[in-house]
Amino acid sequence: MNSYRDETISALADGQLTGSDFESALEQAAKDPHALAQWETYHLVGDVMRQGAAGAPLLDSGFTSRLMLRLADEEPLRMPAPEPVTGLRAHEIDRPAANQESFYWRIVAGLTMVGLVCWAGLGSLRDKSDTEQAASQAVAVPEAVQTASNGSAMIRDPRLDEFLAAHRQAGGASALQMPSGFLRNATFQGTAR
Amino acid sequence: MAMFRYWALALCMGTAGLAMAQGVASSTPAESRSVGDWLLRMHEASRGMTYMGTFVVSSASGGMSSARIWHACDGVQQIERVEALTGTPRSTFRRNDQVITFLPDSKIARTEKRESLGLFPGLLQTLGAPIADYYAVQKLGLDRVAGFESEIVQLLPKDQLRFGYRIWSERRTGLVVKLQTLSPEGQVLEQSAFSELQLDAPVKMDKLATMMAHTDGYRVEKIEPVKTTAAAEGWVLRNPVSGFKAVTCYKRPVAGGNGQEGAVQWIFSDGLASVSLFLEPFDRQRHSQEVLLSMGATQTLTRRLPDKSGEWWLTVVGEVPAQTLKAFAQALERRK
Amino acid sequence: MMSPSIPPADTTDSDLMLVERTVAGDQRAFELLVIKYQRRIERLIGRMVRDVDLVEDIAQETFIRAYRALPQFRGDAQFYTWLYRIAVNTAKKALMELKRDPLVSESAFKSNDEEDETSAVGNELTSPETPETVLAAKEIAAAVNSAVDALPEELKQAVTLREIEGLSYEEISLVMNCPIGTVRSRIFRAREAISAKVKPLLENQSGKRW
Repeated sequence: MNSYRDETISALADGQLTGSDFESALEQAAKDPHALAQWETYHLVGDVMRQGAAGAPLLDSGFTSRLMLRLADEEPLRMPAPEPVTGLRAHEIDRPAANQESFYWRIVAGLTMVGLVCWAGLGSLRDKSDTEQAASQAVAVPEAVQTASNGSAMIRDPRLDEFLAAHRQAGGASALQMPSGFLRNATFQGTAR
Repeated sequence: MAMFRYWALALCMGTAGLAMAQGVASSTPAESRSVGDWLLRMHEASRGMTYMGTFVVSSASGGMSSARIWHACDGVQQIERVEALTGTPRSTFRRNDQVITFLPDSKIARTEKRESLGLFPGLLQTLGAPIADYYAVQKLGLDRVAGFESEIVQLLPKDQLRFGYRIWSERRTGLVVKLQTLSPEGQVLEQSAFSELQLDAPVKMDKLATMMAHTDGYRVEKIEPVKTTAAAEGWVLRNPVSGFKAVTCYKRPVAGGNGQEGAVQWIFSDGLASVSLFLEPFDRQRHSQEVLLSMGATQTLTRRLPDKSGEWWLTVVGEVPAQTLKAFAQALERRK
Repeated sequence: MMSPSIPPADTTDSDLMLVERTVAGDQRAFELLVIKYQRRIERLIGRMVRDVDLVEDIAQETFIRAYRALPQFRGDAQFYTWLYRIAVNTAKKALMELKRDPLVSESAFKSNDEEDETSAVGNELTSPETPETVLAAKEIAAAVNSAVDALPEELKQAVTLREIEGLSYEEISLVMNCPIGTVRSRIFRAREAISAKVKPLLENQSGKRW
């Protein structure tokens, strides 16, 4: 069955494998040095077909194993931390563990201002001292915050998150609910409350 | 050959490529009834199926969330398990309309009955106007998602009040394998898709059921919103927002309630998109900023209700453009 | 005719799958990405830096930074484009630091112009390559070319449509009027035949610096 295994790596290289086929191909590449060598050689062949001698290796073949040894010591990957609100320290909500969410509310516009506010002021979990401190640091917020490019201000608000969760639960009122809507909502969940 | 390649590449490349594809792809709109039938088939597809895979949600504003999915059914009931790969560790289980979410870090398990699941078939009847009245339907051809040949259908809104969608449904079964929500400019706001999928996977229903029932060591919180009517709660929409029908209304308690009032949730839908209006008493401490927010396809607007009933705070949430949220906010009226 | 230097567009999905898998905790998926792109990254850095040890250091650093930044890769651009930028930034940063170090001789680096992919292999005077490595690269290229030319017509066509034209299996099956399974098999057999001619050259070089 050697021939079958090799064809798998070729198909993997062309993005043809998914699901459990993809996973078994990864397993093979991990366990069978021949499979991994095939992966390397096929890509070398492709590079050389496209670029000639410039596709050939520059460094020796130990590069990858040296790199993987270093990576083995790396911290596990986590989704990125929230970007802090411009000009103010982001208000940290007390959480039981270092959970990191990958989706945040992006402020499109602040429509009107009611009194002196600062962005960190939304949310019901602040205590008084925070309010006072925040108020003293308050930046005059422009009437209409521009629609963001990158570096848009983000906010976190537990009440909003509750509403968002409630809205998603009600999202069954849609043709798109099954399965993708439900899965989207379950995958794309907000904060732990 | 070059044309074909162009078109085929366009299918793989999403928005940018699609603009090119529209010149070449056939664009006969389907009849209203067949759209309804097709959506129904799509909606019901997962009922009879067993599958597992990896699901990824990504948004234009950044951020990617993914989860492992297992889905099993025995012809009578279905069970689903969603195991988050990113963000807060959590496992969500669903058996028919019963949902439980385990949060291992806080050792809380939240259960609820979501009668909204499976609402869609009935919704088709109550909508009054077919979805094809509000969305122009166009078949875009075939594409592969997670290794499965899929048909792409595009639904573009006929007005400014909703988003567009591109839906990839697996050819043989109709299962939706990829879904894109499109802004009025045709940008992909959000995409949900299987990155890996195995149909007819050996997923054991009883095993999932056991996992679902295993609440040892967890504090179980039951979320029970009370069904009500908007009228009973004192709310009315002065003018309807085109295409959207009121679906249901709940009074929700606050999670971990600390004396705060609950909110009324009034839900609307046009068959594809839904909008929730949350109404709670105005609180000067908490309600200091009226904002417009965006997260992927979901838009949110907060506002103090401006008329004499200024003692209310409105939060509108929906997978619709900001303009639609504003339309709801403007039409909402207190009648009590 | 300019050949594309980047692999065919529809491997973007498979790169993304490997990225997702890595973020989910499987480093072996990342290893596959490294092997796939390491030559190109080495060459890119080699156009900015003369010292071969430094090329390796910067290349290692590039992949480590890419690994750490994977959660931020959104898949809305090609993985290689993203990786390329990381490589250039890492090399520039390293060169800046070196320039500040009075003990480092000028010969370690050359003027750092960000060159595009399609430049030819640098000449012997200003590249990290030695005459031996240049020769070895030419031999490999010659072996691949002659192996491709020697292929039976349908294998040659399949692998060329895939690697040079960047067509998907579906497109190739339409062009060649055969089932997708046949496309897959032909590409595999072509690769095997070419690999057989190339492997002896690689084995001769293994352990040696290029």
